Amino acid sequence: MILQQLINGIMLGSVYALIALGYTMVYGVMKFINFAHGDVYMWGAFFAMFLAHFLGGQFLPVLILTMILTGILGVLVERVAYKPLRRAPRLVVTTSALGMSIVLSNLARLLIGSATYPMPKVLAVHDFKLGPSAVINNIQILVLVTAVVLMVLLNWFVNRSRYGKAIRAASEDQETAGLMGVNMDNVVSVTFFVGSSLGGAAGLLVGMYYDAVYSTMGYAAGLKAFTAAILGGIGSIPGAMFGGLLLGIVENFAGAFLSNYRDGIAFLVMILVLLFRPGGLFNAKIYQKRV
Amino acid sequence: MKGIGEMLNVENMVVSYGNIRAVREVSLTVGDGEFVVLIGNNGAGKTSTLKAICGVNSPSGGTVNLNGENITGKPSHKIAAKRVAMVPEGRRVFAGMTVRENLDMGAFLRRDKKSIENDRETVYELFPVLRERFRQPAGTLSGGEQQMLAIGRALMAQPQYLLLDEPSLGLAPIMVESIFEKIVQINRQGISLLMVEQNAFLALSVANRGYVMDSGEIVLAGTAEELLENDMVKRVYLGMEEAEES
Repeated sequence: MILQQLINGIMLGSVYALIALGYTMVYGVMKFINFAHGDVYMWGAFFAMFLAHFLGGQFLPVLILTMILTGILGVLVERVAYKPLRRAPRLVVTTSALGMSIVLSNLARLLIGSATYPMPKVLAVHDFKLGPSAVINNIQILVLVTAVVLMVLLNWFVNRSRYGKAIRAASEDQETAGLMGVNMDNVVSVTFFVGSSLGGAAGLLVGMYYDAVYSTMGYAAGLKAFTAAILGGIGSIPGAMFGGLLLGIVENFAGAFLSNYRDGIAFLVMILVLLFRPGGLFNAKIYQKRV
Repeated sequence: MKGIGEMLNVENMVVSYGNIRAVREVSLTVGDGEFVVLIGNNGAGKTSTLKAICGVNSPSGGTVNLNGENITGKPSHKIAAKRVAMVPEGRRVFAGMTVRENLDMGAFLRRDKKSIENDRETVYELFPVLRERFRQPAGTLSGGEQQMLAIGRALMAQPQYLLLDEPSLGLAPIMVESIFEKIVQINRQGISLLMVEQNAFLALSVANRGYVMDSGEIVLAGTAEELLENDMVKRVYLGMEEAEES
C-alpha cells in the first residue's frame, strides 16, 4: 500500500514537475506568473492526441512533435500577449496571462469541443507486480522515465549550453546580461519554447496515463504545478523538480488515507512551507531580494 | 585592425529620466588606446553618461559615434557586438553562476573556442585568484575578487573600448591600488578606457585625460596633469578626497 502510493506519487509528481518548470523558468526570466501555462499544457495534450491518431503507436515521434508544436504555441502566446507589455508593470502582464489562459481554453472548446476525448493508444498496457500489493504498469514507467530524461536534458541545457547560461544570467540580471551581448528577445523566446515544450510533454504523458484529454484539464494541473513551483521556490529549476515530486507524493498519501481532503492537504503543505520558508524550499534569496 | 581616426565620440548627448535631465549636452571623446576618466560628485551624471553610451539607457538627444558609425540609441546587446564592453557599477557579477561561467558570459558573442580559451588564460594570469576559484559561485567571492571578475568578464569580449564604472567602489585601499594597477596594465595592452571614478586623485594619477562633470554637464576638460594642477579641481575634488580620507 505504501509502496503503491509512493509509486503513484512519484509518477504524478514528475508530471507536476515538468509543468512547474514552465512556470519557474518564465518567472525567472520575466518575473511574472504565466497563468496561461496550464492551458498551453492542455493544448499540448490535444496536439499529442492528434499526433497519436495520425502517427499511431510511435511514442517518440509523438513526443518530439508534441514538444515542438507546444513550444511554438508558447512562443506565439508570448509574442501576442506579453511582448507588447515588456516594459509594463508585472501586474499588467500577469493580467494579460490570465486573459490568455481563458482565450486558450475557450479556443480549444470552440475548435475541438468540450467533451473528454480518449488518447489513442501508443502502446498496450502491461502490469508488473512489485511485491504483494504494489503494481506498476508500463505506461507509468514510460511516464516516469520520460519525465526524468527530459529533466536531465533540461539540466544539461541550462547548465552547459550557451543559451542555457544566457537564460540563467538574464534571470539574475537582465541589464548586465544585455551588456554581455545577450538579446533579451531571444532569451525570452527560448525560455517560452523550452518551458512550453515541457508542458506539452506533460500533456502527452497525462493524456496517456488517464486516457483522457479535455479543454479544462489545464486548470487543475496548472494550479497544482504552480503550487509545486512555489513550493520549491519560484525561479529555481531544481526547486520546481523537487516541489513537483513532493507535491505528487504528499497528495497521493493524503488521497490514500484521507481521500476527501486530497487537494486540501496539498495546498496545506504549500501554506505551511510558505509560512516557514517564504521563498520556497530551494530559494530564500528571491524572497529577500524581491519583497 | 585599428586605423587612424578610430574613436568613441559623444556629441551633445542628453539623457533624461522622466522630466529630470541627468545628462545635459555632454560631449566627450576617447581616442584609440587612450585612458580617459570622468570625475565628479555623486549624482553628477557620470553613470548615466556611461549607461547611455553602452545602450543600457537610450539618450534623448545628441549622438554617440563609434569609429565613425552612429550607434546612438542602439540596444546594449548590439553595442556589445561592436566591441564596447562595460564593467558596471557595483560589479554586477552573476552571483549564482560560477567564476568560469561568468567569464563564459563575457564571451557570449564569440564562437572562436580556441581564442576564448586563450583569453581566459590571459584573464587568469591577470587575476590569478580567479583561476583558484573558477568553480566557485561568483556570489561567494569578496568584493575585490568580484571586481576582478567583472573586469575579467568584460575582457572576455575582446573589447576595443572598455567602460569602467566606479571600479574602486566599496573596496579596501590596498585592493583599490591593486585593481588600478591591473587597469593600467589593460590600457597598455591597447584597450581604450573610459572610466568613471569618484576618487579624483587616483583616477587622474593613472589616466591620460579627464573630464569633470557637475550637475549633468561637463565643466572642465584637459589632460590629467592639467586637471591635477587646476585650482577648482584641487579645491572641490581633491580637497574633498583629503577630507574623506582623514
